[in-house]
Amino acid sequence: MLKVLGAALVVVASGMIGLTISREYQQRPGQLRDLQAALQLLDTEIGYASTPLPDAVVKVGKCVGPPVAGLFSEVAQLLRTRKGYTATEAWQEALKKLQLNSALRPADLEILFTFGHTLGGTNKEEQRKSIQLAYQQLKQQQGQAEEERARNETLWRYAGFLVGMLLVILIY
Amino acid sequence: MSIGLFTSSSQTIRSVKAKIFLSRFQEQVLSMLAPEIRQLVGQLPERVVDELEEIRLRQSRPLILRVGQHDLGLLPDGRLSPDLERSYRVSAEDMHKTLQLLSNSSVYALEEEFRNGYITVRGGHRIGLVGRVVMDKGRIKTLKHIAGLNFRIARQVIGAADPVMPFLLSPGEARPYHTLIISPPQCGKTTLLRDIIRQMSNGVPRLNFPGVNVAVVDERSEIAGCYEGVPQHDVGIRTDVLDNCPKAEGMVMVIRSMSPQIIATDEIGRAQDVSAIEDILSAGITLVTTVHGRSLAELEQRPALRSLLGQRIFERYVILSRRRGAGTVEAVIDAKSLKTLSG
Repeated sequence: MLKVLGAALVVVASGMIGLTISREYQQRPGQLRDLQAALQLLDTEIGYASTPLPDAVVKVGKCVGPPVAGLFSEVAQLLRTRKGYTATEAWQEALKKLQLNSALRPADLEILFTFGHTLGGTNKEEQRKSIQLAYQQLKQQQGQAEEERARNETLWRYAGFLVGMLLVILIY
Repeated sequence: MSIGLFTSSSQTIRSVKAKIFLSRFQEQVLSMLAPEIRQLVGQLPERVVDELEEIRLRQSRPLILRVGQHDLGLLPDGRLSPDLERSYRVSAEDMHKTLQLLSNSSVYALEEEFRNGYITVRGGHRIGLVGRVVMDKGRIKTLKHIAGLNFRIARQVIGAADPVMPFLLSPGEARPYHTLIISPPQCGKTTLLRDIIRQMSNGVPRLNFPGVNVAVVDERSEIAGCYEGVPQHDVGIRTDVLDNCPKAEGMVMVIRSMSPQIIATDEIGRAQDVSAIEDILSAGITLVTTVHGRSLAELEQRPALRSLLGQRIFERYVILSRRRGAGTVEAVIDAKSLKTLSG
């Protein structure tokens, strides 16, 4: 009886790990897409409307889904409440949080990190250039992420359970 | 006994005022400086902050404070020193961060201000900028690589106009006199004008003056120190400010839009100003304005002004100097008889 319970636990646990990995593959392209949409909104706010950054990030935060929305609303909050914070510092702080609750890879975050260096600190043309650059890089990452998703999402959904069962058989 | 009481209470008022200024300084000016410089300037004793006029940041060069009439360096350990070479050196990083902070992280939204060469921030403080100019079709488009910043700390002197007010209000008439303040730069011309505006707008009970609508055409955001359109200095309860507006056009515009009894503006002197002034006079509005100069005789040399003075438009001239500190009133002159009324 105890053995059966243990075996079930092993299968369920490794199955869950597999599902988590599979979910990351599934979510990453969507989050990259959200980031691109957010950057395009930011481009409009900065390039055409000259909206001050604290207001612009609030607007962007309202227009995209989580967790990308959280990145922008976090920046907005830091800029509003912490006197003497530059946009770059606020952006990097907010990125740390995004890293914890998103499916993004280090390479994706690196693009955002670099983008943060110029955020708010240069003139309009240079702002737009750096937004465009980050946008293009994220688009490339997204293509890659879609491919990986097609290859791995279904695989990992079942692989966890299968490995679990294999373990159970081996242990018996 | 009564004298003792009086001095002690006025000292209290003074120290309360200084406290208010200090806390506003911390909120409005310190928060815009890069962290390293903020920390150094934040350590300055109260009496130094009280006399602080300018903070100058020049990239790769020493940080310089203008305190009263002196240039002082700020050593890396926070002490003040007249030896400027030993002062804290401003890094490129400091410049970049300061620029981000003072633009509210939106350097891109300040192209207009860069073109003008200064930014007016909350509190009416003005920050002058220099750097590399970017041209577009033969005109200045914006500044790039900002390498020099000058924080000019704004201080309103409530009551600065007290000594001259009795001469500017005509007894028995609702309309104050057309007034021209004549002053060399840095003598408190704008400070005096601001307080005249405030008093005329609020009314002066001790002179039985009830207060009238005043329109200010503030071409360089110096009089009212507007931030996002809202005056940061006290310019009175009946005062409307047209901020950042060319004087000649602005004066004609406010006559129609706000029906003021008084129009105030700073630094007239160009030919187009003169024709706008004629419009004001024909509408029965009082003009209060300023001009750069040391004396009436000097103004007569300048063609545009000569015609203004020749037409006897103004009724009062107020002449300022720095003889006993900024804002020394040399004389108030009746323009009709050219008699000196005070000074």
